[in-house]
Amino acid sequence: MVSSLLADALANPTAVLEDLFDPNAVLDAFPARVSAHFSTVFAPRDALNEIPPLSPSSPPEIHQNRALVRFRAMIQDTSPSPQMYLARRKHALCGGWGLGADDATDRDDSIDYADLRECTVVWAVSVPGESSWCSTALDGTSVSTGHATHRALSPHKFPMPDASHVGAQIKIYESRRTGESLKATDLYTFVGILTSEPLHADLELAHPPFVPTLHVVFSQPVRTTIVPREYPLASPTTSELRDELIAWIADTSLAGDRDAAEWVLLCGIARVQSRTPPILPLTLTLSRFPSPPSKTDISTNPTLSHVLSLLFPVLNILPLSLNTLNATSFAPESKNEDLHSGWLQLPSGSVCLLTESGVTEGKVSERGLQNLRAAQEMMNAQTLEYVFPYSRFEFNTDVAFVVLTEGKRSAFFQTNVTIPLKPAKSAMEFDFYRDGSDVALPSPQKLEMFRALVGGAKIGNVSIGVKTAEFIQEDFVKERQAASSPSDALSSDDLIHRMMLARLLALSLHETEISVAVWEKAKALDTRRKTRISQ
Amino acid sequence: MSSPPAIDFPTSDNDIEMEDGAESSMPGAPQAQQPLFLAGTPSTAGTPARRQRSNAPDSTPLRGVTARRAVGLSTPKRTPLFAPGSSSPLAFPSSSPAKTPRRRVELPSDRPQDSDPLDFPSSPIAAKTPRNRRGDIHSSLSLTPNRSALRPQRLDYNAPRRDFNDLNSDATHLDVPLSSAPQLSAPAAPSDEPDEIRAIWGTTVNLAETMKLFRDFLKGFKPKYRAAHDRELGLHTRVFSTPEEGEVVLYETYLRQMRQKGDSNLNLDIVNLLAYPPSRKLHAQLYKYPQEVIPAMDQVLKDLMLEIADLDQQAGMEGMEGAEGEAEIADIMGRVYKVRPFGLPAVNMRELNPTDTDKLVAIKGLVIRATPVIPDMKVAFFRCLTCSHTVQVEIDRGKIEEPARCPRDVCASVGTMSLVHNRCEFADRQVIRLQETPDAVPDGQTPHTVSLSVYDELVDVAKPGDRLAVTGIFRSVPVRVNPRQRTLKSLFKTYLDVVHVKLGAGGTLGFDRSTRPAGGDRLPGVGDGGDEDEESGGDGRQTRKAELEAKLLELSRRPGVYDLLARSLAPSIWEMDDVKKGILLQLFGGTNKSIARGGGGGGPRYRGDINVLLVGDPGTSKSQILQYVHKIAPRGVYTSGKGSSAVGLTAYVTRDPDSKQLVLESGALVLSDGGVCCIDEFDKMSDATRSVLHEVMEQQTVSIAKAGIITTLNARTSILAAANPVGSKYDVNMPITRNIDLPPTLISRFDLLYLVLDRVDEALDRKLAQHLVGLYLEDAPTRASEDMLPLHELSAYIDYARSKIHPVITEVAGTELVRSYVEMRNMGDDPRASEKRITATTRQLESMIRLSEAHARMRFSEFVELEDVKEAVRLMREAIRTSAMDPRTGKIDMGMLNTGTGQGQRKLREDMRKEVLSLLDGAGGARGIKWMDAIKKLGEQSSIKVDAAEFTEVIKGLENEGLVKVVGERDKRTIRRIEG
Repeated sequence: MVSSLLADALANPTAVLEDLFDPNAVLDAFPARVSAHFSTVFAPRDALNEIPPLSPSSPPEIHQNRALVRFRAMIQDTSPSPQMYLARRKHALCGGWGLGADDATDRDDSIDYADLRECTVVWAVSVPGESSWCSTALDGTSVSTGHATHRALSPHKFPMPDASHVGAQIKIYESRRTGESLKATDLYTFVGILTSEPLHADLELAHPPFVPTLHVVFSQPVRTTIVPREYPLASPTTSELRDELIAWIADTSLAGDRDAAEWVLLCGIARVQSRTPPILPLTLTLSRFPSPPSKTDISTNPTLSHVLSLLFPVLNILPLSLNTLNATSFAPESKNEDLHSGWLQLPSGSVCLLTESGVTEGKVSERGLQNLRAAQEMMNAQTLEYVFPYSRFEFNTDVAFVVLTEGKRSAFFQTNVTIPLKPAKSAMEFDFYRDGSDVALPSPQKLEMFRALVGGAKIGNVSIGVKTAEFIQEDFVKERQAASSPSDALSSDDLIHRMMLARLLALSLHETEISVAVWEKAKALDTRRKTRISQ
Repeated sequence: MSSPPAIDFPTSDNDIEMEDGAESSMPGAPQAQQPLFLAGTPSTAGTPARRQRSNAPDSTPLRGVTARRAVGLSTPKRTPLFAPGSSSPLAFPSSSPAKTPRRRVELPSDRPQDSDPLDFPSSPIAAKTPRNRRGDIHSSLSLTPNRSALRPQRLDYNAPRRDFNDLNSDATHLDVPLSSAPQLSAPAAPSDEPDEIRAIWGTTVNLAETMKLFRDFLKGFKPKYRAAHDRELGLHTRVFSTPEEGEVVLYETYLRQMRQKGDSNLNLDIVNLLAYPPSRKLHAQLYKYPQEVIPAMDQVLKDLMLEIADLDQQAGMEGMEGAEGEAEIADIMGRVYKVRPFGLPAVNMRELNPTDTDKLVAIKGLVIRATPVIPDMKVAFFRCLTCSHTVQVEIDRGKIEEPARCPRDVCASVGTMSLVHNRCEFADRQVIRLQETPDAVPDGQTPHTVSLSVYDELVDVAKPGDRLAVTGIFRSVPVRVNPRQRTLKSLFKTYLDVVHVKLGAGGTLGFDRSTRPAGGDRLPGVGDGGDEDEESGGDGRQTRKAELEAKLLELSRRPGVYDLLARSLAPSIWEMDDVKKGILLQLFGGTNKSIARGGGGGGPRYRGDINVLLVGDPGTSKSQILQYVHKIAPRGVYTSGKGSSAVGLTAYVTRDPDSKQLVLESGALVLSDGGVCCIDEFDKMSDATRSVLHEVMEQQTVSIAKAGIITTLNARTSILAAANPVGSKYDVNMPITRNIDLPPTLISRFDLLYLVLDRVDEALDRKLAQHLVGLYLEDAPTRASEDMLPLHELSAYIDYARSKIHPVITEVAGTELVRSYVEMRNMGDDPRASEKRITATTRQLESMIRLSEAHARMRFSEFVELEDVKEAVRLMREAIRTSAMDPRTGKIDMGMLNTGTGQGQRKLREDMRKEVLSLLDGAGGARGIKWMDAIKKLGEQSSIKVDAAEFTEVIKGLENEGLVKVVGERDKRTIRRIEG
């Protein structure tokens, strides 16, 4: 029974919709009924995966008109005004969901204004920086690559200019409740009927361009880890697994520097703990990171980025260069009532890797300065200001930052932590810019365990016992007393950073409480880093 | 009409004739006289030119007369209005427009006629005879009832007029006491007619009744009703100065004002409808069926305008006598009167939904774009190509029905109706895009935008960047698939037909009225009520506001409010109580004072803004404090000295992408005019930017000279700056000026300077660690238990104090200020020292005044009292003690802050100078002494270490005096004594 419903819904969602419609029932209740029906049909495990995905590898063109698709997407823009539609068409037919948008009513027909309903319109794009393993895990192996790469109609709506992505106009009929709660950079899986319609804002143009439009039947929020994870891991060997993971990161991408690898891992799993008081992710600068061997090809991404994208679900690389600074924008900006995206419009829980290797000498324009300020502000306060005419709107973000720089410290940014890279082998032999395919992979099972470790740490919670708290206090006082001169003494900021580090360390070990051992370990890690800097 | 000629008529006729002659020679000479008396005064009959002059500038009625005359309308003598051939009220509508085409567009739409000057047979379709030509309302209601309703009324209305005319001519200039009886009979007329009951389609709303209700309202509403209504809702009401004030028939006053100003818009606060018991029903009707009710109101308004004008003419009111009155009345007839309702509680624009369609709604927002003026067709004129039959079609829901066939039965040809463009009627229209303001947008959402259509007088009132509160009719219309096709989509676009606009709807970002040209964008209409408060917006909002105010007042009476506020300022920052208190007072600010008299627009201003500088070790949460303040302060701005270019801190000129005009975009400091500007890493700021701050901090202005625009902008800003010491740590053995890399001139402009040092102290350290561990590692931070104000309440408290409280210094406080200042100055009096140390300057006195005012403000007190001064002095001392102490002497020396060199330092230099000279005179002689050797030798003699920098200063001084000469570079420098 259920399976036949499923087959129906997949084969002809429009018919299902029309069957559900009862012209005599209360119109306002219909959208909720649609949502309830479809979500029940697709409630069973894996049923959702039966729906063909809409993604860069299976772009809108390969789907039939009015096919049921699912779209894992980031809300990019919630500013389009809600749209009115006739919920009951002529002859008591079902309206909305793109139905009747094409039938041309003669204008002599009277319109019953009481049948008008409203739907929320937003613009959504495929999740920026989503790692390919996530897509494979959720969408199955991509469909034949015979199609030419999809070219989105509105490239300015995606954070990375020129990157391949799918963007679509999303129409949500279950208005008030669902529609109002959608926030910019939220991740959702939208299931709906795919059509091609003019942009809502362009309706009055003579020949409006058509864009992919998804008429949502139901939607689900997507977790920050994309793939469901748990914390703490049940495995007793988490500590060993963690060591293996760090070793793997260090050996494949950081010339064997385990401390640096550990810092990268810890800062990668950092997230916003609280806003008042602000307990924000630690930001990291990995200094002394070699530039690509040939300056000609500055677009090469470091091996680290490939390795991290194998571990973290969402990783974005922001290759800093004079061109990206001066010619692109980091913060979203509304131009002609269209919200253009910016590099930093990223979903919560993503990792942003800033590489400074592409920066050359030259002038940073006003825009460049604004971009730099936006990035610094996001590191400091985890907020990003979207620019609108005559006003700015501040949006909360939750993005972990790792800056790679060749110098002693970042040329542009101040981060909480700086650690100079100290290759175990000579950098001459080690290629920091190997291609992604050259990365030595561990066994698939091992890799999956790594990912579970990282994903779980991203969502876990740790507490602190009274004993450890007292120990930390005592430790701080003692260390201050021991300082040879006031200028060498540990400052309160140092203590704060150390505590944040201890928390991250506990998370990476999948422990539920910060223990004295973890504290000592964190202290040792931080001390090793400090000695490195002074060397 | 056989009455004997009135004595004054000949003179007035003469006047008019002469005036005609003089018209071209004396146009519009300005002279404000009482022109309206002159008409009937024989003595002025001989000075016609003068009369003309005095009338020209302001009298539209008279111009109306002359205009009419110019187009050949003869004004017959003696019977100015009702003689045959003149525009009698009955014949007027059809005859007058033909003769004064200039006025055609303004003609009342509701006239029972077809104003067709040409002789085409005309048959308006669908029996929509009268047209309502208001741009904003395309009423779907057939206004035919007015036609018959008006006719008798007009007749009735004329009857007493005639009588009165006769009366008037019988006994000219006798002050006839007006019997109101004939007047009152007039309004009753329409409703008496049983066959006039017409309802709004689909409802039970009787339009005639609606009109009567509105009429009664206009004639009966008095301010006392509103006061009673407000009291019922528990709102704050204005107290009437005299009982009579509450008894004024408000709208009759407004109507007279409209006539005098030549205005045709009446702004109607619909809360007044609610407040006047008989018209309560009208409120709901207006809200539900604005489309029908507003035109009906317009009609009533016009009738009443005429009635009142008539009444005034009879009463012989100034300017309403004789021919002038007639002209005035004729003018009123020629106008379209509009009622512009406002006063609905504003809703969020995302709450507008299909059920609001065609209802009256009020929203607020920010104008982001406005189109140029678009001519909007209100009435289309079609002519049949075969039989030349013409048809006029009115706009309905934004579209015009093109007649498919000729309506004449004889002709009835299909598709022959063609549009005659120059016979159509157009209105001014403008489309405005209104965006939600930041405060209205739900968290995490991007703002929505709606389209507004504004018409006629409202066009060009709002400019991009303005905040508006608009009242309008919400529309949803089907979208056409293709403009060339007759088909529509089942998709709809929504917009608002605006009936009322209010600029700068409150909020912290309200625009500065002084930036607008005087009268340049005055809103049309009368009745907004200049006597009403700005905040008379929505009921709900006001009660909430009153609630908040009550809460704040209660809070201000709490005993420990000072500590509570200081504690709430930056809850996550531990200790630093005095710093928090200083910053708290900065947020409240002193009062700005200016000397009222004197040249240049009121003499000098004295700033009330308090500037605070924090200097201290890295890692002492200075930046965090700044971040908090930035969030709390009204118009807080946060910038880092390092990243901000001079442009970002000042203002720059750009070209507006839409209008191609040069616009001034303000930067951080100007934007925070009236706010707090937080500057982190103040010491890293470039010198150019810092020099701007000199001006900002003392003159409170910013000067700009860019792209040919030279101007000075106000920047009444308090500055909260944080700076790091020169080395990585603050060296307590050095004076402050050596510790921070800032010019002393700038440092001295800060009222309070705090040193935030990181000292090792076991007990303190333990408490700090406890605080931090609790904060950063526990899931539920412990601070919740503490008594703390939430951020928004603190912000509201400060906002309220800043806008409402302006404390004045009492005598006791004044004496205390003087005493404290003298005491502070006397601290430097040391009988043993030969030189006097400066411990306080007038700058410190000014700071003390500002701080005590701020403290009084914090208490919501209108007076600065003794306790305020005491606290201010305490804060000052605390700050000075840490910052202005000379580390070498351990004494306070303001000279250090003001000039960069303390008294102790000056003495030291003097000693060193003597030594250097003796050194040179003794050993070196003409060969001179090597730089390094000199320092070494001085070091051997002296008990304290010789500072290289100090030494350089001394040598420089000697060089300037012409006593020594320095030869060579860097390490090879040699000092030589110049003989003579």
